Amino acid sequence: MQKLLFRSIREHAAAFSGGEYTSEELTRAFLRQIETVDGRVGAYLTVDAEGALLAAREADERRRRGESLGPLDGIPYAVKDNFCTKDLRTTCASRMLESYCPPYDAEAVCRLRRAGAVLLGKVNLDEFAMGSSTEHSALGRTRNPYGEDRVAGGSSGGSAAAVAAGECVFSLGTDTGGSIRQPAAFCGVMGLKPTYGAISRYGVIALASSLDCVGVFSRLAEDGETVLSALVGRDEKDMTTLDVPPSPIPDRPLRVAVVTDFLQEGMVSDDVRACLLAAVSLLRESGLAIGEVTLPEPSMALAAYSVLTSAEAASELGRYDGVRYGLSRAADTLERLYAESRGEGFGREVKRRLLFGTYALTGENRETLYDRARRVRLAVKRAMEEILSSYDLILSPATPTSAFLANARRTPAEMYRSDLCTVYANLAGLPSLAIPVGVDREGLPLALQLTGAAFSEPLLYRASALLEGKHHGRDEI
Amino acid sequence: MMEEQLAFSREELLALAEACRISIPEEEVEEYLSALRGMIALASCLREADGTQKPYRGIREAALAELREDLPEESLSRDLLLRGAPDVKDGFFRVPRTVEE
Amino acid sequence: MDETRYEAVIGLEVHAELKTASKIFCSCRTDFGAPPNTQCCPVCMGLPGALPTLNRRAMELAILAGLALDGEIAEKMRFDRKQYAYPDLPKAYQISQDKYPLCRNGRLRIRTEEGEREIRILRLHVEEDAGKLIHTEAGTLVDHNRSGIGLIEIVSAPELHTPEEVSAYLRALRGVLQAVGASDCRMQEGSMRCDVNLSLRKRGEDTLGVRTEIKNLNSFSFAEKAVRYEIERQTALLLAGERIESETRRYNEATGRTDLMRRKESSEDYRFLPEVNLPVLHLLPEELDRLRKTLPELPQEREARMSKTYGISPNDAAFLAADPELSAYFEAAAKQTSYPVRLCNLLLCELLRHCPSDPFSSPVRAERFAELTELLGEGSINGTTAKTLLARMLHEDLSPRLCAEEEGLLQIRDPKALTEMAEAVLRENARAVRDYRSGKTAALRALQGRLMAKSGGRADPVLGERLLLSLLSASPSEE
Repeated sequence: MQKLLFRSIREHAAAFSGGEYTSEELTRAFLRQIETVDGRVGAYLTVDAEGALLAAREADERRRRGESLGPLDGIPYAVKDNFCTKDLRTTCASRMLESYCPPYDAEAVCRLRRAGAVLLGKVNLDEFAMGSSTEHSALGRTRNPYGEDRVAGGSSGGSAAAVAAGECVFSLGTDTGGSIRQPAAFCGVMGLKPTYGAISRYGVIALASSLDCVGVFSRLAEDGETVLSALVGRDEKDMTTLDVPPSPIPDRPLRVAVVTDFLQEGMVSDDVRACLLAAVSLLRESGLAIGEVTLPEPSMALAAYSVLTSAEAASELGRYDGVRYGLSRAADTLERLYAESRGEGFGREVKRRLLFGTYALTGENRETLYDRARRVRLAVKRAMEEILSSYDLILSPATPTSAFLANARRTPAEMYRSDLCTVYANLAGLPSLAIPVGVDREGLPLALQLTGAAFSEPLLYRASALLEGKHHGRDEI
Repeated sequence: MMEEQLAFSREELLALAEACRISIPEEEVEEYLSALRGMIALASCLREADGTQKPYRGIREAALAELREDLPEESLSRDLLLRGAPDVKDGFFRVPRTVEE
Repeated sequence: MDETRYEAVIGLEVHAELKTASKIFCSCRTDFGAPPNTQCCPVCMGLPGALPTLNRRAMELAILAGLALDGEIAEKMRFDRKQYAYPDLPKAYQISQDKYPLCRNGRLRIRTEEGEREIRILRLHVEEDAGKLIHTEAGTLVDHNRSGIGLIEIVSAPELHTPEEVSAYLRALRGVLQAVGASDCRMQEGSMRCDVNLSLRKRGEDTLGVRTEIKNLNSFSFAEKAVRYEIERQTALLLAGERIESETRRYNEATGRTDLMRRKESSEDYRFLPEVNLPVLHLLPEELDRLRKTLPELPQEREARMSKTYGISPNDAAFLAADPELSAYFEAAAKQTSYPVRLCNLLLCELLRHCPSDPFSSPVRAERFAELTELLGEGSINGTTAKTLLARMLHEDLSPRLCAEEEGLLQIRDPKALTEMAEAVLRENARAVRDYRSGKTAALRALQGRLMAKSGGRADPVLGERLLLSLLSASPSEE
């Protein structure tokens, strides 16, 4: 049974067609797996067994009639609990939305339904996607399938852990500053943050609209590509989406830029450093042209990231006030109703960011912090585009270390180095893929990251094979 | 940096909390104060950033022709709209009486 | 102590709802008067995850309004979030335009008894409306049907000085917005609302005094009254040596006064940030040209044309031209009569009193009204009969000509018949005749009245007067 849960989308589809098993049987297998392991993993916040089985039976019925919707028809998956699902609890892992049922589906969920995919349930995250360990969830803790004392990463920790633990074939998450790639790296799965604008954000509860991206967790590159192609494309309900055909894969040796910042002493763990160096020689042996680049203005970029996300989040989360939906505390004045509802509904990490975001927009800070952050962002974007005019890919670690211990008090410097790996892709709106490449001495997954030009996702997935295959097989628990 | 950390006062924190409409229990004030001072310190390098370069304005522009057509569609049913609201009266949301207006 | 030594300096911020079928950032209907919270969706309710999409028609209408006000239309338009928390604002921010409004530097010509002036329009921008609040003893009720309806805000320079100018400005602005179809401007439905900023200064001085803001005036007459009251209130304070406080006030329709709403503390911080979910709108030159070509005749042009074509006074032309329905009615009638000036007078002095004005509509069909004017103009009936006929035409669709003929209401213009009547009047009113002849010329009035009465109200008043005068000046020998 274990093997069944770790098959690829293509293998499942072939099994459906060949009559080896049905989508309903597969779905039941995943539901059993969730029952068996999720007590330990803690990926799921809500399991919709009934809805999943219904969808699976419909997929089987379509296949019987020869009306299959394509490769995803009947494939079970999970979504991060910040995607709206009609009449299915959508919590953002917050007390504020603990019992909130949206009246509509996120566009990504709609598109997967149209492709026949079977939604198993909603998975855990840091509250409102603010965090990098899924320890800031108000509704439960997600553990790393590779070690229960380790975090799954975050904010899309549930999405990563569910795929790694065989609790779904693939999952969706969101990435604002690394929230897909970092947990993917910690859990040993592929995590793609696509180009900004490639996938509709309609119905995805915002953290910071100008940076948020919907992305895909999968065990295999080919699975990721299949899911991605069902999701991409312009959505009239999200005006920031674009219809751009994916860039063709160059018909010549690829040029790869290695970010040398991470080779400096103390930047990343010895294991990660070794991984990166090994990858470089591997690529060189494969005939790729390797160059070196450094990150443009790291302190400024990270400060800009922090200010922009917090300021946008403060704006986005202003709507949760206890009047129309969500947690509400009765009070005799409006001001107290607001303050008590928000005070109780939001966790501390969220409050810290809302306070800081408000600070960055208040009075002259709006000019000297928020506005400067926007200027730095454009400069960073241009610098990244400049690099990508000479290179096809940028290679860097996805995280500076393997998964850290739960309840660890991380220093600001550690968080800084971790963000440094991932936020550039968000600031510049570029696609970026975390690729599992091996395990460290403690058996914890290690991952590298490839970042490419806008809409170069197929290239990222294709190139991942160069790094992935030769290092370590896929992971099982 | 140190100056700026110290410059962020308890009063400023409480004013921010009010602007954010978030109640902060007295026993947590110090914790937020220290967290905010840290975040402000990390961001303060932006004050030295070039204020004349162009700002980021999103990924795309749109022409008039790309905008949505003015065609009305069904709205949500009111039951669906009001089902999560804590206080509803005669099809309205209800809040404590506001002083102004 | 002369209170005329102060001059009021007034700027207006007018909000007008854009006349679109769907809201500006979502596809909900904009119908007025629907049951509460039935025209709402995830977007205009600010539900988690919902994103705005921009309504093309709304932007076109706003651009047309900007062009009609002779403003500079921005080539790139961006939306911002104006953040403030209030229960009528579901997202806790309003999508608006801060730094980059759709239009700047427009102008609007207004006309009062004092003459004509041009008022500068500082800016015109697009934003979304907020919901409606109803305050009851048992709490405030919120209806979001209006949330997300497109608005334009038009900000004038502080260049108005009197209540009459305020009223004239509003009328002229409404005329322009209605002409281009940007807004219905139905003030009683709240689709046009006005905030007044008002301060006083000593005449001849340049510095501005402390100003107060009067919020949400929803009729021309309230705006005029509120301004008049506020000028009096501030003048009284200044004369008493007191200071004006910077504050927001509201007009109380019952008392005719303005009441304090709140003091303005240090200016409110809206923590504006760009609305990153909407792309920057890049207005292509060809799109702007296309819109410019669709501009209809504007009130100012219509006014000049009507004054020239129909020979009516500039004031009357301005009044008619400001209202597209009214001027259309006038022109439809004017095509069917040779007496447009009389038509205009009869319309403005008589018919208008009986017509709903917002929007204008007439219970009398234009061709019937033209027929009535024609009778009057050619002298078939006199003014008194015209009024009588009009009063009946308000209620039934009758031909005034047939009616006058059948009921014998046509004017008596036969000199012979009238002379006989006039002679009889002189005989029967010997005393008035004596008075007149002894120099009390006012006695002529009484004789005219008798003649009119004797003719059953049908005597041609001009001819009658001439006959009376000639009889009176003839030798009184026979008596």
